[in-house]
Amino acid sequence: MTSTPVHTDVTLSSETLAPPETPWQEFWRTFKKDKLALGSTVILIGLLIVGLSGKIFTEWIVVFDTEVVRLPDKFKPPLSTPSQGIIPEQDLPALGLYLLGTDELGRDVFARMLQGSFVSLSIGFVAAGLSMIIGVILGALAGFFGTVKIFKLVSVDTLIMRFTDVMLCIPTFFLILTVVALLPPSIYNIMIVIGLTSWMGNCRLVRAEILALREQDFVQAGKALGLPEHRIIFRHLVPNAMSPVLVSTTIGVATAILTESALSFLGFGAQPPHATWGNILSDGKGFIFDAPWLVMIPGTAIFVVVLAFNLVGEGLREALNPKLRRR
Amino acid sequence: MTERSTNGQPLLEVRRLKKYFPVRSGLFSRVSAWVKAVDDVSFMIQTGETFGLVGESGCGKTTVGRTILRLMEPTSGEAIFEGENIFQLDAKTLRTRRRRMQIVFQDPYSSLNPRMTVGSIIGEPLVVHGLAKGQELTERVYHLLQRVGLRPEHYSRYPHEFSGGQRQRIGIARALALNPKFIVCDEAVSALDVSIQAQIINLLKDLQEEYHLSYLFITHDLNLVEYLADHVAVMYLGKLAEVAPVEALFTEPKHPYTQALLSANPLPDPKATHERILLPGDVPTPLNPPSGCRFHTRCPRVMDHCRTTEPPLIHIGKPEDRHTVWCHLYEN
Repeated sequence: MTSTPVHTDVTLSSETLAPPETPWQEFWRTFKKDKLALGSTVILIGLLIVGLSGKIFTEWIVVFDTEVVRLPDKFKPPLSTPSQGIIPEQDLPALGLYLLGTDELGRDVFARMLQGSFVSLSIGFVAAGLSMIIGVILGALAGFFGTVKIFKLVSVDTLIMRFTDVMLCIPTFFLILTVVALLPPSIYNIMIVIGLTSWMGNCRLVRAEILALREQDFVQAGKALGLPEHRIIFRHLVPNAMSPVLVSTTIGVATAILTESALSFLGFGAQPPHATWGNILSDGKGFIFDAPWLVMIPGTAIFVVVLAFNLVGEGLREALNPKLRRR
Repeated sequence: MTERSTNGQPLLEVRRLKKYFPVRSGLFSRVSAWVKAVDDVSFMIQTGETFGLVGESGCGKTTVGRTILRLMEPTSGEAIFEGENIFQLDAKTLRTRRRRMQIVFQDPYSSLNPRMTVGSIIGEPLVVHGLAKGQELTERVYHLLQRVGLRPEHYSRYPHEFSGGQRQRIGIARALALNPKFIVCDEAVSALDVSIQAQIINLLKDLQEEYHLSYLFITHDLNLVEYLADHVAVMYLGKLAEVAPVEALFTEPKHPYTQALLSANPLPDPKATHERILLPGDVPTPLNPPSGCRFHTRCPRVMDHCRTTEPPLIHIGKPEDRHTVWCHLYEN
């Protein structure tokens, strides 16, 4: 029978121990275990590269010309070759064939998809990112400073949440239409407007989470340790309130891409002839039986992006939550 | 005793502390009533001593602990800590004074941020107060971990990977990080099972000796108080009933409530019999506490003027013994 002493007085120096993992190393170690999320990240990064090269090769160094109209070659299915002799030499597609077919004006769908990918992806990212940032900040303030009164009249919580209610009452799509109609038509205005009108859900989610977390002892402990309020909010409360927001943001990316498509359909989105996935889809809608690829191609692209985002979001949620980690 | 000299000065002196919570109701949430959670409580804690605060659930023990640390704002009163009134400090000064006084919580599950590693939980106060960084920070956290009986390899683990007792050790390490003089232990061991309780209690005792800590030990466990405390305050319905040195309280309790409380305490010997003083009825609501002495509705030795007059503070023996009782029985 040997008993092990409870307190072993070994003097420690950090040389005897491996340095503790940084949060990033640890995050990466757990994230890469989720093969689906990892694959989706690769797809998203690939799409981002496609989007950037689309911007470069269709607008700056024009390799793929999106604006060439070839009426004799309209509604060519994907992978078909241009009609010999009819199309002038300089109008032939860059690859010698219509990789993704042509539309009702004989424009190369591949080139248009490339051009549109930049717009669609950046709208998704910027709008969803903006709505997440606004939602988290307002929700955190409303939840944390709930009872603090401004001018001894209304509490911070009442002010922010009633404003959120007002924003929710306004039919978002018509607000976007109005604002876009008044502002100069620019893709950046559309991103910002979509972001500014879609943060309410996030705000409510974060507020509700923080109201529950605020009463927990670790927040009181933070206060007792003299941590500044911003640190308590953004280091202790917000990370614990993020899981529902991350999920809602990945869906928000998809919604933003679709909202832009709807705007394009009504003629308020990116201005023609500039292509976006949305307006390729909505233009192609009229020819769904004659040329199904005009709908299928942008539709599939949106679907892939949305799916990839959802999977990445799920992976992030898991990697950021220590309790869900499998060691 | 109110004279403050450098050596006779108590570490913490609480004077006439009150904390009322508003009850709001109606259309415009007007304040319709006040819950008098803590009503006129005064006591003092000497350097290096363990001050037990006992009472049943809802009597205001936790509120006392948290108002002293300004985790809640007091309604009125003073708390003189090392010569300074804690309740009058502005936010900036308070932040620096927080290094001197810390708290250990009851629930080891909600008192640690589930998304931070143990290392960053314990190291955070050091970083925020600019006391250590880089290599030095890691070393100090390793040292703290070891001091509370955890192993250095626990540094990068998360709270949910630990048992309740280990989590409580983490909470203690966090409280110790800033090298405080005074720690409020708010039911620090009541969530743990008995064998772990003993370990944590012994840890707290060891730490007290090593760092000359003073504890405000809030609990409802009389055996713990008897073992750990030097001085004890008994609370009933937001007011103090009796404050006494621990031996005096357990050998000759003065206040009828203290007597009843002690008689309800189970003895470790199953054959031992002792007379139980059974109190009739329930604790009245702090929303509308009884007039006069708050204990008169249940007191076995109630007299007529207990119902109308609030009992004064009465010293038992010499004032230096710090044995005081709030009861009409001991007038003259």
